[in-house]
Parts: sequence; structure tokens; C-alpha cells
Amino acid sequence: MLLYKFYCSLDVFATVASIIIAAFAVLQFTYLVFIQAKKEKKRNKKEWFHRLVIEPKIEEVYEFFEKSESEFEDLKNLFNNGDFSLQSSLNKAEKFKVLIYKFRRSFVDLVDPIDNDLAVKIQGLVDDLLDFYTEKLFSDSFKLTDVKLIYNKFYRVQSQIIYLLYRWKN
Amino acid sequence: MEMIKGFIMIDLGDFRTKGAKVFTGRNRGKQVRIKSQIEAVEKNSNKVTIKVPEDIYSINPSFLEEFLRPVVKKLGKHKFYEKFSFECEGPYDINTDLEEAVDRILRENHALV
Repeated sequence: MLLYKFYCSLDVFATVASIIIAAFAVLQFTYLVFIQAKKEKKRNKKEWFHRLVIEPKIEEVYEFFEKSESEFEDLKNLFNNGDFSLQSSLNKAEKFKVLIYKFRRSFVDLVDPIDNDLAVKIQGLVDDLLDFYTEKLFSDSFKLTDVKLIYNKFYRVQSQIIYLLYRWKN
Repeated sequence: MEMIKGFIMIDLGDFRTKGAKVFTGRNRGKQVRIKSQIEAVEKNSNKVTIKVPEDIYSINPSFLEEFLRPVVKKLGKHKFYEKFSFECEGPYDINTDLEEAVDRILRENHALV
């Protein structure tokens, strides 16, 4: 009789335990499906943003990089040819600003209403490059090695912008 | 009787770093905004002139945005240009940089997110 009661209680315990385990499994499954759906939604949104906003305008980003690089090349040539003067510094600063302001209107302004954080980061990087460039350009001790520093700064900013534009894939 | 508010000049030369030929950076813009008390100056005068020294060759939007943000936001584009004028003593022309900074400040008000 005692043995029978013991088996009965074991049976009840096993049933309760299996119900709890099953309930836990269902909860875990639902949670995972929910998390997955949330991640998928976020990824779809980023993919959509990239396809509709970034990709059609990516040529403009690369055009900005190419024209900036050509400006720095031109600055190096001016320096090497001994044609560097205050007026040429003013012209170079002006030309680079025109490039930057055009980039803001054609790309950053488009990104801004959809992803303000990304727009602010890109604009911050570009502004940082412009500040560095003008500080060097109008420094009393401006020399050829400063042009190399400008190039380094430019390549850093370029890679950071590319990283920001494609990081959603990771 | 309504008090006739005067004309005030802010000389950027008073806020330059020794030897600097440019005004750049948001932090610097903020510092000059606080030191020059531009908001109080705007409040207490009809016209404000900002003097740019002869040997200043660039004032970048990063600086101008922080320096001018409160007054541009308060006045709006049209009234800002009516009230504020810039006097550049040297070869530097501030207009393009100023327009860029004002556009950026006002764009912030129109952000969707």
C-alpha cells in the first residue's frame, strides 16, 4: 500500500514536472520567435533604408571623396611648384567648402530625416576634416608634411564614413 | 516710453586664440558664445555687428553653428539677417559659411525624427 502511494505521488510529480517543462519550452519558443521577428524587422528596416536612400546616392559619396582627394593633390602640386600664397590658401579653402556644402545638401540632408544619428555622425566627421584642413592651411608653419597629415586625416574620415554606411550588414 | 535700444559690436578679435587665423570647432563656438554673451547682446540691442579681424581667414560652420544657434533659432533666418551684420576687415568673405551655418541650425528644427 505504501509502495503504491509512493508510485502514485511519483506519477503526479512526473506529470507536474513535464507540464512545467513543456510550458517553459513553449514560453522559450515564443520568446525566441518574438526576438527573431524583432531582429528581422530591424534588419528589414535597415535594408530598406540602405536600398532606397544610401545605394542610389552612393555615387555622390564616392564623388565627394574623389573630388576631395583631387583638391589635396592640387594643394600638394601648388606647394611643390612654389605657387603657394595666402590667396591660394583662401581659394583652396573656398573650393573645399563648396564640395562639403554640396555633399551636405545632396547626401546628409537626405539621410537626416530618416536616420538623424547617422547624419549627425557623418556631418561631424566631414566638419572635423574641414576644421583640420583650414587650421593647417592657414597655419604660419604650413609645410609639405602637413599635406601628408591632411591626406591621412582624409583617409581616416573616408574609411569611417564607409564603415558607418555599411555597418548595418554586420 | 519705449527705450531705444542701441547698436552693439562684438569683436571676434577679443575671443581668438593667440596666433590663430581661423575659428573652428563646436567647443570653441560654444565658448565664444558664452564669453561674448551674444544672447544678452541680441536681447538688448536693435542691431548687432560682428567684427571679423583682418587676419582671420576662415570661420567654419562647426564654430558658427554653436556660436549662433540660440539667436538664429530665436529670430529665424530673415530677422537674424536683419539684426546681425558681419564686418570682415580682411580678404575673407564670411557669407557662404554663414549661410551654411544658418541653414544647418534651422534644418535641426525641421528634422522628422
